[in-house]
Amino acid sequence: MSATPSLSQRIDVVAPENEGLWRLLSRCAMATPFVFVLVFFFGPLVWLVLTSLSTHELGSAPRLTFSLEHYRSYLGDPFFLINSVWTTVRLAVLSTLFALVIGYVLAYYIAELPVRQRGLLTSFTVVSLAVNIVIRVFGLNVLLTNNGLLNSSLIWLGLIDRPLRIMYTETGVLIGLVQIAVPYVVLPLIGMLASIDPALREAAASVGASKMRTFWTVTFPLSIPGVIAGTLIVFTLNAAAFAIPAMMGGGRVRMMGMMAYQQASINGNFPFAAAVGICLFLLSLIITIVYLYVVNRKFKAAR
Amino acid sequence: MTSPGIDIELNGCSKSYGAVPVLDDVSLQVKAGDFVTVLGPSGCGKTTTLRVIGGFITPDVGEVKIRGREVTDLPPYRRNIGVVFQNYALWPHMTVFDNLAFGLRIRKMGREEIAAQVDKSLGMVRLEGLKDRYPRELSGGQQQRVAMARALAIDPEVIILDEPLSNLDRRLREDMRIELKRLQRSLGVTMLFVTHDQEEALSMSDQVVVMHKGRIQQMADPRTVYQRPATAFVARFLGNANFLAGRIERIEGGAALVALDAGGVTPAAFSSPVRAGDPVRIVVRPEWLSILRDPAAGGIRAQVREVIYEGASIRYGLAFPYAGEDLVFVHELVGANTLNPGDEVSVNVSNAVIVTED
Repeated sequence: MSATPSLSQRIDVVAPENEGLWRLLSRCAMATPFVFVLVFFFGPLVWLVLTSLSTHELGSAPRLTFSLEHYRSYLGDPFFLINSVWTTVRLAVLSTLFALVIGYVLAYYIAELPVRQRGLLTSFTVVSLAVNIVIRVFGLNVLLTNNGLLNSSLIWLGLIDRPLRIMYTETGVLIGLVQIAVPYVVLPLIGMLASIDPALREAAASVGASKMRTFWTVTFPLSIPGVIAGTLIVFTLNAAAFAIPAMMGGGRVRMMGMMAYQQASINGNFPFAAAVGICLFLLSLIITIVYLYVVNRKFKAAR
Repeated sequence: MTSPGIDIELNGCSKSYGAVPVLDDVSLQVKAGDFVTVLGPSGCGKTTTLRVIGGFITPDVGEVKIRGREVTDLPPYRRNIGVVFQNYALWPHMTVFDNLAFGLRIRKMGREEIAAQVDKSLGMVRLEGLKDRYPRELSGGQQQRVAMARALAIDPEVIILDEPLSNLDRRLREDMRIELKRLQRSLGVTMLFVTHDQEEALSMSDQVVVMHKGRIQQMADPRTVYQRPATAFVARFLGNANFLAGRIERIEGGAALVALDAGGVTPAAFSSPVRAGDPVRIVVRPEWLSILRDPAAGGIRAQVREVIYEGASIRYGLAFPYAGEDLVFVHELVGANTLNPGDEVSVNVSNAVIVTED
């Protein structure tokens, strides 16, 4: 036997006395993320559900009565359905569609570039996400107000006589939502498109497919996972949008996030606000599930 | 004018990226029904040649003709050339059937016609019954066959193949060689096959095109390429080659008599013009040399330096006096009379070829 212990022996020497402690610590470390999610995500959600089922009386705290009155008065009222639920769905879906089209073209272009330039433009996209949303809205404001850059250019060019009203209209909010959304579509799509083997497109050309046909039958179906990732992020983000409709809608464009905020902070009706929040959550969930179901059926082989 | 019976023709094609030429004045003709291999190391321009024919690269100068029709500026989808890619490039989101039917649908064939054509093509590569599988559910060999069938299905004028066997394991690769060659012969389809594997090139081809640094070094049938390499590169790239230096003594009846620096005179074949008195390099294949046990037997005197046992044969590394440090290698079948390092022998040269530098 040699005097120096082998590596495995040396490990054994350290282990015995601390073994139990180490095991406990490592278990705790493993559990941390789960505890975090449980406490900071499910906790508030449960609280929100309970609040939405409480009765609201002016001046006193909500009382848990398991009543569905707030849901009934929100979803049962055509005014709310049209002005808030439908506005939210319409704007979220439209902004997702526009962002997808714009983002896809950008991503396609970026993915075709040589690796270095691709990396550069990808980091530009990431940087654009880092700009604070309030600053971005002010930027859009400068561009879109009645005597802003866009309107004065169009008038100068003689294309219009009177400024177009964009700020504080639904169109303005839509532009804002799309602007926020585009990078979220571009990022997953760049990776997806760049990973498609160019030989797959060449093979399509070799059997006679034009560029258009190759795109719709090969490139697009293979990029579906990227499309799904991008659109899901954007849709859920924009369905719950608050800052954009608040700052660009001028109080006239009532998306559900804003509606909940108004109910809670102006009317002090927390249970009603909670009910709106839960409705928003369920709405997003249902639309997402339907969307995934449809896309998966249509492109089930793409992945 | 294109002579009839020429399926693929390149005339003076060059291509460079920036200052780097990848194709340098390449001209070649492929006869209808031939199996032609483009052989060379990586970066020699063989894949570029294939891509020029396929239409994926447009040459800077030169023209490309398929069956006499000029296609130089046509995109791939207007050429009707079957392409088999190195990694097969099967569309992962389509079944085998859809992979084959894709090109047929573009040709607006009827449903039944497509089904019949797909069956026929799969039959050619002996893959019936896998129509509903996705590429990822197939083995490498099966994917290779599907890629082949997809190229065949569109009834192409020619088929070009980019190292299609290089991703298969050795056993399968050798089987596929035989099968591919049999398929090509039975269909009579013209094939241009790109490879870096000399065995593949020699065993399958009617014609071998050896490329190096964007240029064609030699185009000839496999025997000629091996027996009469035109350049030192061709000799080195195909098979084993010993190089010996010498000077031409005289030219006699189509062969040059070369006085070797190592001693002795040997007749050597030549393909480019030579004159008496020229210093030359000759190539001698190991099997063109024989070892005589008696050093005074009249051949070139040599000393055994290395003895390498290879199973059925033994490879001897011999050193010639005045021939530099390079050893000359000779194979011998294993017999009773094995030589040992240090033995003095005499070497007979039965065949030799004068080569130009690369």
